Amino acid sequence: MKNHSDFELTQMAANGNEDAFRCLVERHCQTVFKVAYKWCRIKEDAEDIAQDVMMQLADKIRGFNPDGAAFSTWLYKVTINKAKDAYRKQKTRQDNEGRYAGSQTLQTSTCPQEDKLVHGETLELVDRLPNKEKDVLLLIVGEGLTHKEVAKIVGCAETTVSWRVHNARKKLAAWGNQ
Amino acid sequence: MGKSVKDDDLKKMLDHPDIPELDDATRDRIVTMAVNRFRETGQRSEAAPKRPMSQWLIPALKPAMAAAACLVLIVMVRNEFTVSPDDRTAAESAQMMDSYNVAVFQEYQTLFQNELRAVVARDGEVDVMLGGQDDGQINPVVFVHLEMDGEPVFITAYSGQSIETVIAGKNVTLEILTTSDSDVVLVSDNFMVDDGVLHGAEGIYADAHVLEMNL
Repeated sequence: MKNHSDFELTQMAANGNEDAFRCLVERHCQTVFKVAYKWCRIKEDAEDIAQDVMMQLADKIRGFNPDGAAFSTWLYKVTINKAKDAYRKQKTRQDNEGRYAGSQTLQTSTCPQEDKLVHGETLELVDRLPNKEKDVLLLIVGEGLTHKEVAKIVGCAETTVSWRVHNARKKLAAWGNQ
Repeated sequence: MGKSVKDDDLKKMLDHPDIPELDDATRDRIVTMAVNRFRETGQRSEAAPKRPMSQWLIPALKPAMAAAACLVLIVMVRNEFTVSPDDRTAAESAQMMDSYNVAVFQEYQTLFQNELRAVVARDGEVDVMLGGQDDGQINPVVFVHLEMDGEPVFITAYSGQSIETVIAGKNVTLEILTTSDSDVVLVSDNFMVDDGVLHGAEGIYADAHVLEMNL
């Protein structure tokens, strides 16, 4: 099973093959978690998101058409949407409680303080971006996807993705210099 | 235009070792729950009683066929009396691209050395064509073709270069970018490309559309 491509596994799972489905989940669980974490930055929320995405996959896989859209496109789309929902709820909680999640997640780190500051500050700057720019930046820079792939995930033209990434980079540079 | 952050620097900052991994116990729990759900969903769909096709197919077909007949009639009438401006523009633009492909490429091979042409544009409809050639070099040549009332004017620059020019009487700074797929994108503080359409600040452009071309 591990030698099969996502396309083949998706086809088999759509036909009810449990082993194929298990292989898909095992293969992509970590990636979903990491994408969700980069968005919402709370480990427990990212774990919940990974679980929700995989449960949704279990419900939808039988109707999934592997010829229509790449499996990874669907996965990224669902993960980003769930991560955004979790992030919105998290921000509401934080605004009420008056603290930032970023500093919490780095408290137990053993990395040098300077590195922590740069990383923490970077993530906080990324959080300030509008959602559309944050989406494309995390997918392109964080996940290494092409502009074309990201365009399919977020549902816009490739040139729009390029524009949003360009804008996001400019803002980060400007904020970083303040 | 303002400097932007390089991807390599940003990637190093985003991929910090402090980003946690999904631990084995949590991963196994998620996999088990998902597989159980997959199994239950399969059992539910097998258990659901299936109606014989004749009981639902024929009643469903009747309204669908009536709707299809109406739609065909509407489309026939509409096509008889209207021509989509988008179709006409796309056809004209395709012809324009064909005739310009060879001529422009040859012309701009000689302009490979940072030559710029100032663009003076008049108000009105514009077609903006973005094209570029990735010849494996770091900075592919990019050209922008503006056609105003059938008269072409050109801008040529290297990727990553900023160009100061005048469009519709306004000073405009254009920045040339390349995407990860070697397509090129033209961006500016004064206008932007969004979903294949050029949007102008302060109403500089009207009904512009972008054609992407890779040589």
